Amino acid sequence: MKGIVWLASYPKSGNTWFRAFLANLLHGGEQPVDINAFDTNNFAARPGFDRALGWETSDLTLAEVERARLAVQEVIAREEGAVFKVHEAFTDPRDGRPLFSLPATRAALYFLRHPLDVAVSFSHHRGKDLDNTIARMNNPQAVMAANDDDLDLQLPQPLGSWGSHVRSWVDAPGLPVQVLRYEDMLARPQEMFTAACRFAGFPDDPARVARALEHSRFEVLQQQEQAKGFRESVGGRAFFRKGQAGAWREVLSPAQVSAIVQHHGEVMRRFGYLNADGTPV
Amino acid sequence: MAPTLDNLPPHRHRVYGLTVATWIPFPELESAPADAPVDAVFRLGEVPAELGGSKFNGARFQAGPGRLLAWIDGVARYLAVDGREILVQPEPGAIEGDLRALLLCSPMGGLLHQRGLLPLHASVIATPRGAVVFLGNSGRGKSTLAAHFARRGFRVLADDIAVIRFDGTGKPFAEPGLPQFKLWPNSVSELGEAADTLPRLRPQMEKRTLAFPGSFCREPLPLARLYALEADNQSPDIHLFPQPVLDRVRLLLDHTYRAQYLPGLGIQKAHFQSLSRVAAAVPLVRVTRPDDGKFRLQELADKLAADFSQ
Repeated sequence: MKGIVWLASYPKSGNTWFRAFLANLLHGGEQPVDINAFDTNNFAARPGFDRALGWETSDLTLAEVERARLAVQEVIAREEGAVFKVHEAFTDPRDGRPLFSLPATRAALYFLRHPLDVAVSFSHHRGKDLDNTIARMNNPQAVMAANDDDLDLQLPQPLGSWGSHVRSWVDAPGLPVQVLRYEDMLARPQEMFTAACRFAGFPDDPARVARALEHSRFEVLQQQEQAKGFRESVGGRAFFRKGQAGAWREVLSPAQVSAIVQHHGEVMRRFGYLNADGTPV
Repeated sequence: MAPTLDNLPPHRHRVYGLTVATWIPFPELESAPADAPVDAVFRLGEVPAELGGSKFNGARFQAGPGRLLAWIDGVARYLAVDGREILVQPEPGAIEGDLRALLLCSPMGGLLHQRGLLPLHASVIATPRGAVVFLGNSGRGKSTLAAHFARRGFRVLADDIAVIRFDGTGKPFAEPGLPQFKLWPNSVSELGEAADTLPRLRPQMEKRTLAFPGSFCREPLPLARLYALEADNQSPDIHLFPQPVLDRVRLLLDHTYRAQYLPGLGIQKAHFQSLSRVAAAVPLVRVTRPDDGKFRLQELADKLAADFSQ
């Protein structure tokens, strides 16, 4: 099938878990697929973008690259079975410009996780303290991999705040998007992953889904990382760390909880992360 | 393949073993004598919006037999024709520095492919054993590494695009490119220089150019060894993995400059044959190091120097 499937999420929200599942679903045999051989790339990785572009983004200004973004997606969409992980917001939080081409899109799966748990996990991933990470989640202008002095291996990825990121994807007009809550994926994996596969046009027969789930269980991923490392980890810190819901209760201070709730209460309530009385679930 | 047109543009330069006649001077290129036979021409002209006939379309290029159309909005449209000419149609207000810098990227890549040369995404240094090539995607440090070797007293043949050609006996040689590194400010600092004293590659970019006329190797050298620079966070150390011939072909294809033009140009088969000849003749070593923001230039260069001096 032509057209791109986007695996979209704010960082640390279950995207890589789904990529592990998908690699096992599409290529799995008796043994789990190597975690260093996932074939879903980040769309912001330069080599693939440069290939479709016909120029090197490192020779171009950011404005020139951004102008070519949707055309690059439309070139890639001509290929069969293109699937990309993306952390960009659906629209640029700085100017509202669309970052994804609807004609190039087959479907989007949006992975959503409790923002208080995201704060804990993202803080560990970045190697930055919680307050710094919460400030980032609350920053409506946040951009990943934006650096003038160096060539990041990834293109800059406009992220916005956690809440605006969620809204940009789930409320995008005309976008075929399925929302998957991380907590539901943990609680009811067979049902949730099957629904995702059906929506995106991946194989969905029960035995195959079950085996792929078994081969992408958290413990399996973590064991592989401990045994031979994970290419995508940063700064020598474990990527597959806890894989649980609710860790924030042990870690975040009341002030840190309230800093997130204040900014994102509405979106949290909408997706069941906040009670009617304003306390996090 | 020499251009047949009488009214050649006035300026003469030498790059990748070719003498080119250009409509403006290219200060980043070596000069060539006015009476040197001309191999290719860069000139202003009308460039069509689309290629006719069979073609492969990318986001900012179209490739067809003998034709490569590439453009950047706000700068120019370029058409490389039959390996002998690059036509340039600037957009209103485009600046000369941008026109030149971009011409020497994709349009030049198209022209080199059309001539049946083998352009690789690499830098090249001269060693007593011959040319040593550092293959790598953008950001993997091939320019920084070559610049570091220049400071250790090695001469340099090329940065960014390495052109390989075969002599009459089929032996692969690296051609001299242009005596200039393209470096991001952090890489300039890594080399112990101040970025703000260096000219920008393009006026609106932070990326800099560092000219190395004193270290430029102006003659082709036989290929001694190829290194593919890669990131791998699975180990904290730098590793060297010599590659068997079949894997060399795959890596050379991965690091072919603008390989995406090949299907449209219709020269995939010839290109593959060239890669196979290089792979059969020249050792290729994968070099992995963690992508942790630390360059470890000394250590990397020491390891490579120990390897290519063997």
